[in-house]
Amino acid sequence: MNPLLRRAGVTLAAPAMAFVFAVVISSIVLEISGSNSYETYKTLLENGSRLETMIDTLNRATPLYIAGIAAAIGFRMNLFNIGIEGQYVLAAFAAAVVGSQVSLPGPLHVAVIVATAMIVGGAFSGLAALLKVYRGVNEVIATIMLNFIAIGGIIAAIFPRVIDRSPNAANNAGTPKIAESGWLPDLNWLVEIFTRDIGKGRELTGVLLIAMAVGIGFSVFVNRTRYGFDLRASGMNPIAARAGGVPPGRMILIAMILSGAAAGLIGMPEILSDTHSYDQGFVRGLGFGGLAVALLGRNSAGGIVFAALLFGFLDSSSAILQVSGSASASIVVIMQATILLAAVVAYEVVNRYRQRDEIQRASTEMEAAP
Amino acid sequence: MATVDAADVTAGDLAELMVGSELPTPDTTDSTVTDEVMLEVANLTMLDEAERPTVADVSFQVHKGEVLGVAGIEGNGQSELIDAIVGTESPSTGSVMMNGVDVTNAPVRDRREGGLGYVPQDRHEEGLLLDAPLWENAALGHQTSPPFAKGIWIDRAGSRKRTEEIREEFDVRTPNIEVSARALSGGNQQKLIIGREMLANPVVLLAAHPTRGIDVGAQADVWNEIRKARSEGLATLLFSADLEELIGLSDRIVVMFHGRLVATLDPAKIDSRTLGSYMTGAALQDTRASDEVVA
Repeated sequence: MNPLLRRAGVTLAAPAMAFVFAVVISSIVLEISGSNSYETYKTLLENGSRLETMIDTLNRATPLYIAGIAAAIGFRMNLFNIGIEGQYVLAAFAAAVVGSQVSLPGPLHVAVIVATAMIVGGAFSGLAALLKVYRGVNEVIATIMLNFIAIGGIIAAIFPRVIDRSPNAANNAGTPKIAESGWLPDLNWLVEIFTRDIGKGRELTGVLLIAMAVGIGFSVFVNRTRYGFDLRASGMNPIAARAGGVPPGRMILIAMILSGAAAGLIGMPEILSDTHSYDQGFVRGLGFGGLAVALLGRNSAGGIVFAALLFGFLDSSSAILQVSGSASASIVVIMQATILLAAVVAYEVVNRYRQRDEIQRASTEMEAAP
Repeated sequence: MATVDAADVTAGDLAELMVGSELPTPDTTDSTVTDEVMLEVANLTMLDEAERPTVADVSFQVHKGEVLGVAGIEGNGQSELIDAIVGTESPSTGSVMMNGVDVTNAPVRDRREGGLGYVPQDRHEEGLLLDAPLWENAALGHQTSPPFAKGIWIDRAGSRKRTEEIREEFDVRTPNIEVSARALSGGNQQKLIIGREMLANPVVLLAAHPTRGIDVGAQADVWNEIRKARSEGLATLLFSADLEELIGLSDRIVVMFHGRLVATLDPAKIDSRTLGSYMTGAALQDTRASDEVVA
């Protein structure tokens, strides 16, 4: 068989297996809970083909994608940055505060907000890296603790002082709204190239472009630069990497800071395109979503695109399922979880097959050609 | 095919039948040793976690064109000595000079860039990225310099070209250089490592058990490479548990026992039996008075 085709087949086998498995499990759950699984899938697909669902899916996939990349930077070197959650919430909070305090011309204002978010995210995850390098603290423990410190400590302490108390403030207590110069234009012009339909008040977030840049930057960094090589080498075999001159401490710092800086961007759709402030309804949980998306996307920039779109689509469908009465909204969470679980198992199975297959083919090819 | 009687065949005869020619020996004849010191370890002491010395006051020099063999039963401080020279652990006292530069506390990368070639004792644990393709494995340890890097970028074309050179010159049997290192046999993995270290033009080669666990043919190739590099002026520090290999390849042999260098021997004047008795400490009982035997 053509080696390229073969490789593609092996690569696609795992997601395909995971998808079939997830559909079977979800169907069983749906039937048990008294819903019609056929009707539910039909509702999902019908809803998914509507323009506003597509825009909503992209809007939801954008921060998930950035979160997935942030997680993947750590995963590539076997670092578990569980603190993405705290890093992005803290970064968004800081960016909202700084953004509302300054008044600058358009692009510069946006740049200041984005830079603030990246610096705060990077610095906060850098703390966990410092603890690991100089005190040997496991980064999982450190980042989990830092999540509590960020959200329950720092934000809880400062938030009351920066709440907008002016008479025309929004009902949902939050930081003062950022001036319009600090808003990122939406991408509806892009949507209008493809369709005359109007997205019924939906706006495609401009942060989508930032997410694309993050994905490309990640891919180039990891695959094409020396630092990326060192990072991957440390992930594959830390002892060999060290003997090969990779400084372990410095690589941990670099990886964690980059992961945190990327994490800082997760809250940007909210700050730059949506509410333009940090309020009590600020979106949570994307950090953990990012870990799932990175796992599903196998830590590659391309794989995470599909994973983020799938999770974004399922998230955006949960309301429709509820409204149409075809199934409970929680079925979406069950589907996401089964897909993830099945994918992780399927990857492992396929990986073992691939390794065995490669060893076998290498030795038979060498015997055939003496 | 040959059939022999198990009762009257020696290990050597059997190996010769297996490789189909006269058995290669590690023996080296002409000396190429010069006066130029390339690696100097002075009064080196390494402590373990309980502050017990694993390497105690070790001093030696390796000259340009010389192979210095280090004999010793495993666990007598060799691994720790290797760590200090490669730079993965720092010594508590003493110094390591490489090519005239004090590298005692220098990071591993500085030493590698300064011309330290390293063939680790466990190729899976320390030498290879089993899941990475051969051409990335060929870059490991040299990823900061050409032909593997161009500035901050990985030079993929350069890396692949160099890997093909290694494959050619060091007879690495592989269908192509895109397969992962896992797919190669142990001997071919080892030849890949030797090739990547040799083609990087090292000034000092640290070879730990370079022929462990590989077949007779690959073993002879490795010996040839070390001999060739020696004649071209490489300073080699050779750790091995194969006494024939040590005696055959080395210009001098030092014996490590309980963390100390207890003897310096001339390989031309000893056999593996004598060497073995030094390694177990048996020979030392007789020579304790003179402390060091310079044969």
